Amino acid sequence: MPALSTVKTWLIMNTIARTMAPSRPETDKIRRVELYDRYGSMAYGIILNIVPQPEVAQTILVDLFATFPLEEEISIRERESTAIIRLARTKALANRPGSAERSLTSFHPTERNLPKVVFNLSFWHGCKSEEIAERLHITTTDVLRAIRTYVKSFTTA
Amino acid sequence: MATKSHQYLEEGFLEAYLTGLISEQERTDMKHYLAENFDVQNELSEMETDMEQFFMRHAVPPPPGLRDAVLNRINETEIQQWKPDFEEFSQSRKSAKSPGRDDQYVNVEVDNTHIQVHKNWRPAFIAVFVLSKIFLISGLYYYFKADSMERELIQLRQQNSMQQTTPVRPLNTR
Repeated sequence: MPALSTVKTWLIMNTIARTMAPSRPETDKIRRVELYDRYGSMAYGIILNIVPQPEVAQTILVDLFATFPLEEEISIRERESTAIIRLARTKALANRPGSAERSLTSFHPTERNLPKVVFNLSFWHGCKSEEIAERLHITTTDVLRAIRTYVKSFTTA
Repeated sequence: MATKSHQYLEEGFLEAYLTGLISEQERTDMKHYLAENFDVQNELSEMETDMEQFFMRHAVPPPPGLRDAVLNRINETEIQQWKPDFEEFSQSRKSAKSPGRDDQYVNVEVDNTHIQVHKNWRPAFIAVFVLSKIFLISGLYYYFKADSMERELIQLRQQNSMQQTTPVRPLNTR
C-alpha cells in the first residue's frame, strides 16, 4: 500500500510539473525528428562509408538521433550538421564490426593523392595523426596540413 | 597568441577540429581559443558550410521505415530516463521517513483528508462566518415577524367578517 501511494504521488507530481512547465521531452523529440529529417541521409552516408553492413549502419543511425546530446553539442557555437558529422563518425568507428577494419597496408600515397589518403585514413578509418605519420613516413604536421588541403578541396569539389 | 593563430589557421588544426580528428584536450583548447577569436569563428563557419555541402553530396537516403524506428527509440529512451527519476524520488521518500529526517519531509500524501491554506485566508473565513450568522439571525427575525403579522391579519379579517355577518336590528318604530 505505501508503494502504491508512492507511485500515485510521483505520478501526480510529475503530471503537475509537466502541466505547469513546458514539456521539454516533447520539444526534444520534435527537434530530434527534425534533425533526422534534415541530416539523416548525410549521417547514413557517413556511417555506411565506415560500416558497410546496412543493418549495423541503420542501428547506429537510429542510436545517433535518439541519443543525440542536443544541449551539449549544439550550444558551443557549432552547427548541428558539424556535430552530427562528428558524432556519426565517432559512433560508426566505435561500433564497426572487426571485419570492417580494412587493412591499412593497401594505402599507397603519391604526392598528388596524399591529402586524400591521409583524410581517408584519419576520417574514415579512425587512425590517429601519429599512426598515420608513422605509416606514411611523414611528420604529424604534414598529416594535419594534408587534412587541411583535403578539407579546403571541399569548396572546389 | 599570433603563433597559436598561425598554428590553428595554417597547420590544419581548425580542419582537424571540425572533422573531429583531434584529441579531447586539443578540442577543449580549441573551444577556449574560439570563444575569444571572432575572425577564426568566421573562418570556421565558412568551413562548416563547405563541409556540410561536401557530406550532403555523399548522402545516402536511409530506408523509409527508419524514421519510425528513430521515433520509437526516442520514446524508449524517454521512458528509461523516467525510471531513475522515479527510483530517486522513491529513495528520497524512504530516507525522509527515517528517524531524524522528519524536518526534511514534505507531507504530500494523496489520501490525506486535511488541506492547508495560507494564513492570509483567516480574516476572509472570519468575515464569511460572521456574515453567515448575521444573515441567519435576520432571516429568523423576519420569518417570525412575517408569521406574527400574518396571524394578526387573519385575526383582523375574521373580526371584519364577523361584523359584516351580524344582522342589523331594525329600529323599533312604534
